Amino acid sequence: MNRNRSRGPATGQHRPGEPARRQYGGGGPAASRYGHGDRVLVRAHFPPGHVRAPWYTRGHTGEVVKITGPFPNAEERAYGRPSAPEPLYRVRFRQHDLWPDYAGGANDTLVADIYEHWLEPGERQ
Amino acid sequence: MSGHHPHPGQPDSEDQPWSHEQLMAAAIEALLVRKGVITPAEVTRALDYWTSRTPADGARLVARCWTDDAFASRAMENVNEAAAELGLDIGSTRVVAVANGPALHNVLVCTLCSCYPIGLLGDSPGWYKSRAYRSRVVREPRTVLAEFGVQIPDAVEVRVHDSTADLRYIVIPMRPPGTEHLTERELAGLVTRDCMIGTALPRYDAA
Repeated sequence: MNRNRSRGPATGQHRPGEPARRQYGGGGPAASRYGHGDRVLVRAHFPPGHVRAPWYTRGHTGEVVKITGPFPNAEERAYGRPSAPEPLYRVRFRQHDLWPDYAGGANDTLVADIYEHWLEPGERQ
Repeated sequence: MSGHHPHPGQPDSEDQPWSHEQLMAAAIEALLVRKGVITPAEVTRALDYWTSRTPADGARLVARCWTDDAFASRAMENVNEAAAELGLDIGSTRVVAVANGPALHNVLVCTLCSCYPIGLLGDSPGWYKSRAYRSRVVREPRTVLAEFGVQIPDAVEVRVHDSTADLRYIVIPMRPPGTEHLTERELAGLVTRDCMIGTALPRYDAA
């Protein structure tokens, strides 16, 4: 019954008063497919269910700014299915790439956390 | 006017039908208790833990970052362990600090639902969970920030963090000028909840 671990005490995984667990999803980079600074493309897929790649990032290219995890795949966990841990990337996008009509500054950015299975190699700028 | 003036009736909670979610939660809790997975005492303890969380904890962390560079470095590396140094148990979900600077302003959202560092900042504000905030702040952050009273100069990068998965965030705002003489406790008093979401800036008006 690990599926809701990240929610904390209510699941019984972490009891109030006990020190926080020291497993914050470290140690992933060695097994990760993409590296810091890599350009990555979020797959333009639209599967049903509570998937975690925000709709507005799909089909867009960004840059890996941090590699975290591995974390169990929350999209599988949400349905109680077995979920192999995988890297989670912090991917930074230029706002003007995401929104053609973006009205803010040219340097404005957005960072989203994207699981590895959503990513493909992105083209160089 | 006195006398028998009937108040408009406001229904008590028992007068409302249970929602689907309330029924499901009660049924699941009863099942988990009956099967011995959890005890009622554990449920109460967990509720007590969550309701005791407060933005004052996050403010303490920010104030320590302002007054102790080495601590700030450790917080940027691992907020959970930095918080533990202050005696704060913020839970096992990993929290990441994003620091504002002269050329960068950070703001937080969870477009998919309402992910929030409850263990560090307490319950999230209602507007944080609203569709309006979640859908607008990613595509017109400067307009939304202006509605909160925060004007960010064009030359400053606005960076939106969409908390979509296993990480939660806290914004470390910049220390306001003129606060060199304040104690750490006084500094913490300048740091509101919204400062740590990025929809406000700490203010200090010297008397």
